Amino acid sequence: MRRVILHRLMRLLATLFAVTFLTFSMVSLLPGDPVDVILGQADRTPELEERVRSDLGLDRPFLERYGSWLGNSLQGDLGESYITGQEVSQLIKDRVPVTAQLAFMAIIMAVVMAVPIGILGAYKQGKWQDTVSSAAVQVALSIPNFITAIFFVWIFSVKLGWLPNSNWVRPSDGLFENFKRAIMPATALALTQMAIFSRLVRADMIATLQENYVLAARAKGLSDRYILMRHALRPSSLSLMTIIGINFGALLGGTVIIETLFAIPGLGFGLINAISRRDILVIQGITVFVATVYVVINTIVDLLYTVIDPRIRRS
Amino acid sequence: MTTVSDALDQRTDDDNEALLVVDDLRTHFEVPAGSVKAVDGVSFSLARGRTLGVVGESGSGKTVLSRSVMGLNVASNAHSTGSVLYDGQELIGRPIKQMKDLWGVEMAMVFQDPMTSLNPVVKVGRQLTEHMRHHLQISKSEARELAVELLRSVRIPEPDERFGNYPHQLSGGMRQRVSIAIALACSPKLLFADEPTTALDVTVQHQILNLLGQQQQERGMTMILVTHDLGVVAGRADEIAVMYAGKVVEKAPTETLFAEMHHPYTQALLWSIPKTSNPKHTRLSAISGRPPDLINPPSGCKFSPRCPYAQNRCHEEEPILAKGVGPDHTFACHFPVGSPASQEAFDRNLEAGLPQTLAAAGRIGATEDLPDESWQ
Ligand SMILES: Nc1ncnc2c1ncn2[C@@H]1O[C@H](COP(=O)(O)OP(=O)(O)OP(=O)(O)O)[C@@H](O)[C@H]1O
Ligand code: SF4
Ligand SMILES: [Mg+2]
Repeated sequence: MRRVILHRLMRLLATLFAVTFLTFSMVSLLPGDPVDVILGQADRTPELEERVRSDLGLDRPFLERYGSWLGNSLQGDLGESYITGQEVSQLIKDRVPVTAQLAFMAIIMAVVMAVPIGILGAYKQGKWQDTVSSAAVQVALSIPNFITAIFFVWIFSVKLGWLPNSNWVRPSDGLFENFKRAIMPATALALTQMAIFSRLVRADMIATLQENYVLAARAKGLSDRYILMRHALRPSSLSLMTIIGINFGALLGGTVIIETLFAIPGLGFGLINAISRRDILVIQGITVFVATVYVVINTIVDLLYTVIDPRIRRS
Repeated sequence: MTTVSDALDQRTDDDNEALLVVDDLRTHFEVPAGSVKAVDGVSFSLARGRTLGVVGESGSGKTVLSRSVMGLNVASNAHSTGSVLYDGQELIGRPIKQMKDLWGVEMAMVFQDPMTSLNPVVKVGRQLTEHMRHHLQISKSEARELAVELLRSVRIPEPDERFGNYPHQLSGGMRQRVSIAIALACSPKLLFADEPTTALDVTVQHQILNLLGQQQQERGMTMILVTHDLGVVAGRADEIAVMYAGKVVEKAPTETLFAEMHHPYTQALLWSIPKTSNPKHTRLSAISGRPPDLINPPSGCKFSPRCPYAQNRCHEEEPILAKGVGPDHTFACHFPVGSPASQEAFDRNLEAGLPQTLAAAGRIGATEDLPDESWQ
């Protein structure tokens, strides 16, 4: 077990190295010159441009820049925003809780809806319950989440006036106010996830229900409900675990549209702002942070397999 | 006034009363190509405490038969008709809800492969106790006590420790012992053992079969022992039913069957008993040809394309299950082995150079070195 973890850690480091290098190169390849954005159109002299460029270190070769960025970031220093002068690590620290809250709420809601729907679909395979739930899931899957979000806003903010659709409130400034603002974007995100999760659970469950040990459990006269929950659910949740990990990571970096739509000060909104301003170090910082979390989560998921399936523990 | 002997008679009558009466049981599977007649008109009755051996090669319908009797054919394309009387109650058409009251308590099954019939992610202890607690309404600690006792009775060393193990932590033989313990947990009256040893090492096979037999005796259980190996049921079953293509083709008390088998297929099965000295001997190699298509079975006798004795009549007219000489001996064959007609048929086919007859002729010459000890 220890060796497994050590092995995973090594792999984690290698992946992170590759990820930072790739994002660093991609960000440097972004079209547009940060100097343009910083100086604007007025009063530009070549000397001034030169100074800004060397202040930012943009005159140094790529590998050198990457090397010093890597060295600094290993010490927790991700640099500062060109525009606001704010430390990137502080900016991330401020924004992560917001996005993480959304992602977390979305995933929890999705799992809570998806598992029963998936189990029902598998258990009643081909019957009307399956047909109806599959159709609903298909609909949820094909509507992009920002459309759902806009629809929610139209009903709950515009028509009914129940829920505010902007002016984010942090949980520390009022839990209920925070919840009122988080529920619409989180639900919009959750519906898509729910659709993906429930399809996986259904497919895995159908396969598990063919297993001999399920027949053996039936032959013991146990109730269907017990067999589904005790015998079939756990072996059917390996793919679900994987996809939860992947999608949680993806939600951390990928709630851009939803965050923009609700003006939520999370990572995605921050990333969009930084991109439009060519704020290279912020883009770089957020991207690397998201990638890191992503890789770490997937490593954790790998380790969790052993909890679900005791057979893996030995090997 | 009832005398002692009357009372004894009375008792034997009760004891002999059949626990299970199966009549014209058919299970067909609807598939796009047609209807798979996996079990096609099987009838037998089984008295309390007795063992019926069901023998046939792969695909003959043994598993479907035992699951149909138990009402456990879960495939949605399966359809069973006929009658299964268990302890006087009709099981065919009985709602699943009511079947669940029988499964595990009244009748239980030991499955073929303990690698797949135990849930890999559920501890042995739970798999042993869950149905006890469900059916017997006992507490967790009572169930645990019973389970450990049960593990001990199926000769599992350190039962306390095994209770907390996952199946993969046990060897194949141990797992099958656990499966047997699970099946015995609620003291069923009727036990199905569907090739309980096929997946195991030869040395372990005997131990498991002996364990089953011994538990059956101790508990007075009725048992249906399914196997493709006549050698397995030889010393262990009271009666043997030989299945071919979903039908019983010969049935007799064990000694009668071995003393005077009449069906050519039974004879072929006998030749194919794996020799104990040569355990990896290819099974059923003595029967040439493949099992028949169950959707469009051959006309006449279903064994006719492979039978060394087959005559024209066999290809046209299906033989019915008829009484033989011995008591309770039935078989379905136009040219029963041992009759002069069969000898003539055989000679005729030999002359005509029928491949399966030539193969059988070679076999008959070699019958002398059959390993008697494997079925005695
Ligand atoms: N759900 C199903 N749909 C269609 N055909 C089926 C189904 N289940 C079983 N069969 C068919 O029924 C026939 C009998 O199968 P069965 O498993 O009873 O044979 P068996 O005698 O137990 O063989 P084995 O020794 O291999 O276990 C086979 O031809 C099989 O393909
Ligand atoms: S009826 Fe004919 S083909 Fe069928 S088993 Fe008997 S001899 Fe063989
Ligand atoms: Mg079988």
